[in-house]
Order: sequence, then structure tokens, then C-alpha cells
Amino acid sequence: MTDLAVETDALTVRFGGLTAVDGVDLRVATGHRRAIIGPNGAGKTTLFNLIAGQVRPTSGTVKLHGRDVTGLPVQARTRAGVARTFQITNLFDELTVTDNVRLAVAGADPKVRRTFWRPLHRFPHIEARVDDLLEQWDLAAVRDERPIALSYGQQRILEIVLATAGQQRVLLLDEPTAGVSKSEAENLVDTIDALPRDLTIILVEHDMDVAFRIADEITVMVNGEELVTGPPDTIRGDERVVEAYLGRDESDAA
Amino acid sequence: MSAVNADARNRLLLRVALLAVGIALVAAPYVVSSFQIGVLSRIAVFALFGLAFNIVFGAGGMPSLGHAAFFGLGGYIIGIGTVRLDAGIITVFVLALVLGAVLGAIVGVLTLRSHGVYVLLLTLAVAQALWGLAFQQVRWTRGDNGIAGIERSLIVPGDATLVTFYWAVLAVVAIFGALVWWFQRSPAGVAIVAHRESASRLAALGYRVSAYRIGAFTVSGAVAAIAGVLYASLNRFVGPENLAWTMSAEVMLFAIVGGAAFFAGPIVGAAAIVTLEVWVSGFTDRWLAVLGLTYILTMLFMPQGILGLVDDRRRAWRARRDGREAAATSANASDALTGSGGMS
Repeated sequence: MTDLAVETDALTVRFGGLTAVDGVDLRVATGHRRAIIGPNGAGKTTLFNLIAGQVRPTSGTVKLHGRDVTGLPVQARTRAGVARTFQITNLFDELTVTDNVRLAVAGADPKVRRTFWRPLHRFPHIEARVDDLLEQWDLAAVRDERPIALSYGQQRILEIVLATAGQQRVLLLDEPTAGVSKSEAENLVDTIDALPRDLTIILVEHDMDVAFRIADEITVMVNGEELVTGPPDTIRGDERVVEAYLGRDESDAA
Repeated sequence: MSAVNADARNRLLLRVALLAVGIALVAAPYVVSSFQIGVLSRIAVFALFGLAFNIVFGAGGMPSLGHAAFFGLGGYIIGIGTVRLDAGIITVFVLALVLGAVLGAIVGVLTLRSHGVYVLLLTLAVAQALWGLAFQQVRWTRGDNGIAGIERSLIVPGDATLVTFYWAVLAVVAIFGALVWWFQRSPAGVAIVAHRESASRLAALGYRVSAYRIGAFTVSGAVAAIAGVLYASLNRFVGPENLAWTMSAEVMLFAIVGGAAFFAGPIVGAAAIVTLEVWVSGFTDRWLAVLGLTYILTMLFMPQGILGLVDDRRRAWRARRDGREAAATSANASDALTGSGGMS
């Protein structure tokens, strides 16, 4: 099937004696929204790192839109269409919001990216897109600020802007609402929900409400393995999932 | 609206200030003594060296303690090239740029997997190796004795006097300083700063981070070698001391004392430290001790350097002014004469 945006085959990575991700076969169709949930240490973020290229697998393969990218470094995978945000906000703190976005837009244009004699702000087509993005995401008013001056929710939004500025087709969101205030989280979820439908989204999320609201399908991971995948309603009622979260021993003892 | 106006006004003020400084520097020989012209030449050369160094250090966040390698390389290129081989000055400049860039690229590759203090140690090792080479390859470098008799006239079109040499140095420093300025504002230059802030984010945006690290060292090495050419012709001499680690430490101090976060930081730092050196030499010849003390005091009392201190004051002053303006909105005249010498 070529309409799979992300496909992993028996994806496994071991760190010393620890098998962080164990034979995961993830298949996400183009335009779908998949949430990956599971207890701490289940291997969710490591799975992201494997897909985006920050970590290389011990065995198994990663395919993006049918193309094997297992051996490619991070920047090559970005160019192949996968973008990501990080669990802990990861922005260029000493650059202005505008420069953050400029770099993101320029990153998708090899000619601009490699220029070393002409100022970054003197590329009209980059500027036009930067202005559009700042306008579209309500960041125009803070364009000259450093990210640190933004609210945490705005910083998370800026991360999404950076990730999608290059018009990537797969977006990996690592706990987008973690640490964000309740009202900002609400806004953030709306924002994610309003992203274009042709964008494939995979998100790791601890907040069940968020995961169930955004995702078409949910994958539950436990101990590095895929426990079950299915639509939100099925997952909600699945005994194994409840067990994974609450723990069998404890409920037996009670 | 008013923010835009203030921006435009600051830019204009900056340009006027730059022009004034430029004119003052060019006109200096008509005002100051020939000794002071020598000092100014030294400051100009070290300012360029500092600007080159700060591409790696301030912008790239990579603490090199080996920049004397590039600086000394430039010195030996003009020394060996013109005294021993009879090469022309154009050849010297081209060779300095090319070999400085090549050595920079090599150092960039060597330090690719290192961070912080390991970058410092690796770059130090490279510079010390070059120092050893210069010391031992007596046939080429005359070892400890160094190469004397480098002609200042090479760089000056027409008569070489102290003053025309100073102008020539000023011109070369201005040209390469401007090139560094342009480079630092380019996509590659901004990406180098971004790599310092977050390499993982930069890679995830599609940038090959290693290329930008190597690029920073390459450009830095080329420009530092040019500064080294100027330094050797200023002294009419090049020796192993041009490659010594103390030279690397001194250029790091230019950046730190002036303010590594600012483009003009190394220029201000070079001016401050050379001035201090001239002044202190009247009392003591323990210059290294004074330099060490300067470093300690800077770290204690102005960790962001002189320009950092100026910037803080300016911000505080501006905040106070904004407060006043908000209090007295009726006073239209408050807008006049409220610019500041914007340095960045």
C-alpha cells in the first residue's frame, strides 16, 4: 500500500540490556491522526526518535510514504517530509520569533539554506511565507520577541509552526500539551485539530482527553511493544489497556 | 508604529555613529602621535582577529583555544612567502585565505563530535602542534629566531610610512570586517547561531548541522589568517609566539571582555585590552598576570562584557523612559532626542 505515510517493520532498538522499542509494526495511513499512549517508559518518545531519525534502530525499518529512510540522518528525513516537535520545548532561544520561523522556512529551500553572503531577511519569497505564518498563527504581535517572552502555550504553537513551515507531510507531536495551562491546552488542541486534513499526525500524549479528541486511531504501547491499536471507542473499553494503566497486581490486591 | 519609527531612528543613529567613528579613525594620524598610530594599528588587527574568532566562539558557541593556529599561519605565509620566496602580496592574501580556510575546515571536522571543554582541548592541541612545527622546522621557519624583515610596504600602494600602513590596515580590516558582518546575517550565519541554541532543532528543520559547524571554522580560519598576515607585517616579524596558546587566550579575552554576544564585542574588547596593555606596561612587565586579573574581574562584574553592560543600562533607561512617557502622554515633545547609540 503506497498511501501509508509512516510504516515501521519489526522496529527494534536496544540500549545496552534495555529493549526500548521491541518489534513495532506501526502503519499510519496518509492523512490519518494517530495517538500513541502508554505508561511512562513504554517507548513512545523513542519510537518518535526512530521515525524522525534522532535514534537509529538495532533492527527493523522505517518507511516514509513507501520510501525506506532507515539509514537517513535527521535532516534528510525532514527533507523527506517528516517534521516533529519535542517533548521539552526546543526553540532557538536567543533568536527572535521571526528568525526562528525564517530559519524553518529557509530550511526547506536548499538554495537559501546554503547562502552565506546575503542577509536572511532579504529573501522576498521567504519573508512572504514568514509573514503569512506569523499572521496565521497569531504570532505577529510578538515577532520581535525572544521565545522566552512568550507564554508556554505560545511556545508550543511556535514549535508546531517551525515543524510545519517547510510544508512537511507528516507531523510528529511529542506531548504537545505537557506543562501547558488548562486554558492554553484547550486552545492548543483546537489549533492541532484545525491543522490541514492532508497532514498526517502522530502524537504522543499523556492527557487521555486530548488523545481521544484529536486521534482517529490510538495505539497503546507497553514495555516497548505495541499492545493494541484501534479507534478511540474500542480502546476506551479495552481491558488490556485499563490493566496496563492501572496495573493488575494492584487491582488484585485491592 | 512608534516601534518602527524608533527602529528606523536607531538604525540611522547607528549609521551616523559608525560614519563618525570611521572618519575619526581615518583622520586620527592628523591628531595623535605616531606611537598612538602604532597602537591603533594593533587594535585594528586584533579587532579583525577577534571578529574572526567570534564566529566560532560567540556565534557558534564553540570555545576554541586554538585560534593562534590560523593567526600564526597567516604570519608565516607572509613571512616565508615574501622574505624567503619572493611572493607578491596578492599571492600572500590568496594563500592566507585558502590555507586558513583549509586549516579551519580540518579543525571543524576534528571537533565535530566534541562540545565545550573538549573543543577547547582539541583546538589547543592543533595549535600546539603547529607551534611545535614552527619551532622545529628551522629550515623553513628559522625556528625560535623567527623570520624578521617582513616589508610593510607590501601592503601599501605607494610610499610606506607608519601612517599609510595604518590606513592600509584599516582598509583591509574594514573590508574583511564587513564580510564577516554579512556572513553572520546570512542564512548560514544565523544557522550557526541557531546550532548553538539547539542543534537537534536545527537538524529537524532540514539543516545538516555538521556542515554549518565546519563552515563556521572555515570562514573564521580564513579571516583569522588575514589578520595574522597584517600582524606579521605590522611587527615586521613572525615567530613561534604568533602561534602560542597565549595568543589564543588573548583573542578569547577580546571577545569576552567586549561581549561575545555582540558583533562589535571583539572590537571593543581588543581596544580595551590593547589600551590596558599599553598603559600597564608603564608599571610592570607581568602582562599575563594583568590579563588573568582582567579575566577574573570581567567574569565577576560584567560576565556579558562591556557591551553587555551598556546594553543592560540602555534597556533600563529605556524602560524608565517608557514609564515616563506613559505617565505623560500629553507631552508630544518627549519624542525628540530620545535615541541611543544602538549597538548590536
